[in-house]
Amino acid sequence: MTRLNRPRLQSQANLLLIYLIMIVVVTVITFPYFYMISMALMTEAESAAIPGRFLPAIPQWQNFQVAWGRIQGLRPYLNTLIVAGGVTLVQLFTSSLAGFGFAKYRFPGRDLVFLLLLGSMTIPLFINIIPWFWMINQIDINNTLLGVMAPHFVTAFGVFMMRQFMLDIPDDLIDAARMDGASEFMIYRTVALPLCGPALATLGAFAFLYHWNDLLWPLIVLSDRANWTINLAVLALQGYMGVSRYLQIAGGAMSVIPVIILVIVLQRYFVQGTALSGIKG
Amino acid sequence: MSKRNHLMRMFFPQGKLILVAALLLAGCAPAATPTSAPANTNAPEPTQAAGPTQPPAPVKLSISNHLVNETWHAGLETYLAEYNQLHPNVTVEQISTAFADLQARVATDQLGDNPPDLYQLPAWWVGNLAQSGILSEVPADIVADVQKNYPQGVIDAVTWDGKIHGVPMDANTTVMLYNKAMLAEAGYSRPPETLAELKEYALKLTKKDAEGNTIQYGYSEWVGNLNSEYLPFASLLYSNGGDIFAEDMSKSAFNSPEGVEVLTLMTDLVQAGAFNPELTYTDWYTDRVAITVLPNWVRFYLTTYNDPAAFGSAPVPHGNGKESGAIVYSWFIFVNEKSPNKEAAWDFIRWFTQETLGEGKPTRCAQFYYDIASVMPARFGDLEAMKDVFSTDVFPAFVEAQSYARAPLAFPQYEEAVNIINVELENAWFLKKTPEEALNDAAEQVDALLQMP
Amino acid sequence: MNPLAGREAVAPNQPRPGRRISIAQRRERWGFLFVLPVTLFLLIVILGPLLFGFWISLHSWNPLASLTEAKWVGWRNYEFLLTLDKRFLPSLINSGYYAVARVIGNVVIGLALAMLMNYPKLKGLRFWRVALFLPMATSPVVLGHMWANMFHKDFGILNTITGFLGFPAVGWMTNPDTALIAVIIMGTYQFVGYYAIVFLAGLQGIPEEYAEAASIDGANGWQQFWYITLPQLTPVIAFVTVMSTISGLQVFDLVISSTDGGPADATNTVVLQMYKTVFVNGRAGQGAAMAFILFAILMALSVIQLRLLREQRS
Repeated sequence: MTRLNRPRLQSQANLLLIYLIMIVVVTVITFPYFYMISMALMTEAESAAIPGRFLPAIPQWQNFQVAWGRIQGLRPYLNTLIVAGGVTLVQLFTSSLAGFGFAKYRFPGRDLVFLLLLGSMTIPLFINIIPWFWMINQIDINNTLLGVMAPHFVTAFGVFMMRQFMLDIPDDLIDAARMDGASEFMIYRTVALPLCGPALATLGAFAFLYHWNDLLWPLIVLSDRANWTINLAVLALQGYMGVSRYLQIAGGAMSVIPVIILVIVLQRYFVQGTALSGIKG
Repeated sequence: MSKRNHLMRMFFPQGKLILVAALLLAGCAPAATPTSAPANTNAPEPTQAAGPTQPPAPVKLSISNHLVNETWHAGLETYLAEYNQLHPNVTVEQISTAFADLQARVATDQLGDNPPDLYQLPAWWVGNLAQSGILSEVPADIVADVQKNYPQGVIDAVTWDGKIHGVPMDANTTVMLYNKAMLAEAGYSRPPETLAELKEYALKLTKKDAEGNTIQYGYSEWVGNLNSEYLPFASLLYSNGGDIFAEDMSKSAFNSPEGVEVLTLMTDLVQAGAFNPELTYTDWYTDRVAITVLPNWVRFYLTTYNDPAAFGSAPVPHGNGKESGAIVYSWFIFVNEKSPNKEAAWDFIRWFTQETLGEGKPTRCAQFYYDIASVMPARFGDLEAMKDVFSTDVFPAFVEAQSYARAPLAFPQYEEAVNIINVELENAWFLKKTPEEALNDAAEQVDALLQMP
Repeated sequence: MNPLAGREAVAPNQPRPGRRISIAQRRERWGFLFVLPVTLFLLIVILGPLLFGFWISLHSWNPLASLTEAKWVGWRNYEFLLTLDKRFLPSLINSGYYAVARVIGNVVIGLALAMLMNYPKLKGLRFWRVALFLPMATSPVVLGHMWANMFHKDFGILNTITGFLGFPAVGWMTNPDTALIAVIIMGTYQFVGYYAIVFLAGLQGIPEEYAEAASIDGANGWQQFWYITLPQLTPVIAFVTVMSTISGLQVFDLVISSTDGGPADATNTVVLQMYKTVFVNGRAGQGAAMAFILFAILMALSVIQLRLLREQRS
């Protein structure tokens, strides 16, 4: 990791200024999160006070308790975990398998399929909803978590990303494995996959996040409250035309907290993936 | 059918890639099976109202609504449980979707194999729903009951193409609300009765601070909400002797001189600083607005954030020599055409909307809607049973309006038309267009909708 | 159209396989097998709906009714959208404004932040990065809802702050002149940290010698930035620009959860208009036609992106 060396800026004063700017920036960026929690702790009257209040007079911790009870506790979290986790695992498998195929094999139609794959990334996702819903009805998985997951088992972006990664695997390594008599699938499993650990982690982290946050599709699929994901449960906290906004904010905070933890724990992979998206595409 | 096959051959001449073909078929022919199947299955259903000896077969009904809020959901859930106790063989399951996504929900439901048996939906969708074939035939006894027990405006609200399509559950009329203290402070002993008076009052009731900022608005609307923009305008238009559409629904009539006059009154108030189109639902109940025009369910805000007794209500001000008009809209409950248990579903509706909670008490439907958001019932018997409630604070003018209010003319593209009118009203209020331009632009777009097949 | 058929026909001089197939061919088969699940899935789940969508875009169909009632209208949906419809093109323009303004905000602020974070003595890079990444990781629905509360003209905290500083209250999301700006602020907020991290990675990839050489030649900070850093970063900037434009044109969640398109259609974006056309207005054919017009625009942008990628690699 090299860094630009700019001697003219290297005075203490400059460093102080930079810290100051960064602190301001981070304050601005994290402010909505703190405010979310502050608002979640307000009373009905405080949340509708004019002008808006920064902090509640007495934190109403029971708001979280009420919201927790209304979303039926742990249940939507588990549902979301199943959906996001399941999609992530399947995507990792399909993406790495196809990425390996696209990167390391030549076969007729390869480039055409790959081009289609790239092109499919620009399709407005919205167009799929009606056909998808019809399809999951045909195989009788409407109103199930599997129905939410199924259309997302393959991701063009994931395949693309894994291919870019696997292109860097030296061919010698693969040939050496072949010499040892490994089957092609074994090469994928024992040579390619282990080398792609960071890429898989990155892809997985992003996939999990995306499906944790997804709303429209689960909303269409899941009519049964018992199957609701966290976003759906939070949506149901909304009051009548703007009333009890603090409850929905409390729910929103509860749905965001796991995401914040995830970002902190997996930050290396998120950063890696972010950087990758700029450099490699 | 033949078009689909042709299409398939076009794309897949050799019939290869069966999966892809299957998929195409999938994409192109969703409704073939679902529509034909229930038609056969529901025929024998009525017979399951069984003789006394054999236990009735279990029936599972589902009801789709927008009662996504946990307390409302739970509120209806208690009635559903009660129904199950009275009819042990029938269970009613509730599916709730947020209002913003309700249309998407209903549309996708129809693609599934077992769409909900019952729906609680806005009756202003009646044209659209009727055209799509979702509404099943209402049993004759229920039609007769609706005709006998509801005001004409509400009956019209659930009627399309001369047929009643469901049972109205509530009535929302639009009248004028005013802040009693503010009017008294300005020396007014009664609310404005004519449009000219409305303007005079609104100007006089507007207060500015030393820097020229308005601290009290004479008049306001709730901008940014489907019903609260269009309905006040439409009510004032009726009260000015105008009409929204030509009688045969062939074209718009709201851009008539009467309409322009109403909108010009509003923009005059905007220019005078008496009406700010940035005002939303928070303003009128926080003692910053003297006069507003809104549907009755907003009383809910007064009970939550203010005091309903601090407000007065009166019919919408009318034009010179005209009579006050209003619009009444409802939500209605109906049975899905695709339901295999139509008879059982209508039985539930009978119980929910006709049977009272006891002698001299309202129906469960009326009680439920009043409980969740002080919504007013439409059924004569319910109004009678709850007259103690509906003769207090702001209610009387709303109740009275039921007798003269007209139904929204809910043609299939009604909601889109309302959205268009709202956008153009906003354009006028924000002084982006003159009242004539705005209404003519709206009329041009709405005319195109009216002429759709 | 069948790629496999064509391939077999032009490979006559390979050794005749008989029962045994050559190693090359076996590998070919494996490669094909590896991508087969993805390819099939792609056809069913992505291309199928796409074809269906195109088919529907040539029809008039209310999604509430059964599909057998769809009526063939040819290109009339497209014609209507591009000529008579008074709300589609403005919505496309709104999305365009949003996308372009967000790109500018993201590139300028993102780059500035990346330069700051790239300062050699700055500690706590991990902390800064996590903080910057958060908005992008948060559900846009929650964000939109949160910001709508903060922007609210009465109880919004932003007006409390500006009021404290002596400015008059602004009806951010209730005034057609400021609503789109408010949405752009939300969108920029959501992604600026993410792009800062992208740029930071780009900056870290610039060899140190360049800067050293420049400073020996006496170049000042700005000159270094203009003549060394910026040209080196051009591919990344170009890439970010295209990516951000593509996603910006599709903004939906953020808008529907905050302004819902209003006031006076000032924030009505194209995907929101599409959603309403299909589900509120009940014209799935017209909505699908919108999707395909948008698709064409996005495709054109992607082609540009592919070009850029190719340039980058060479």
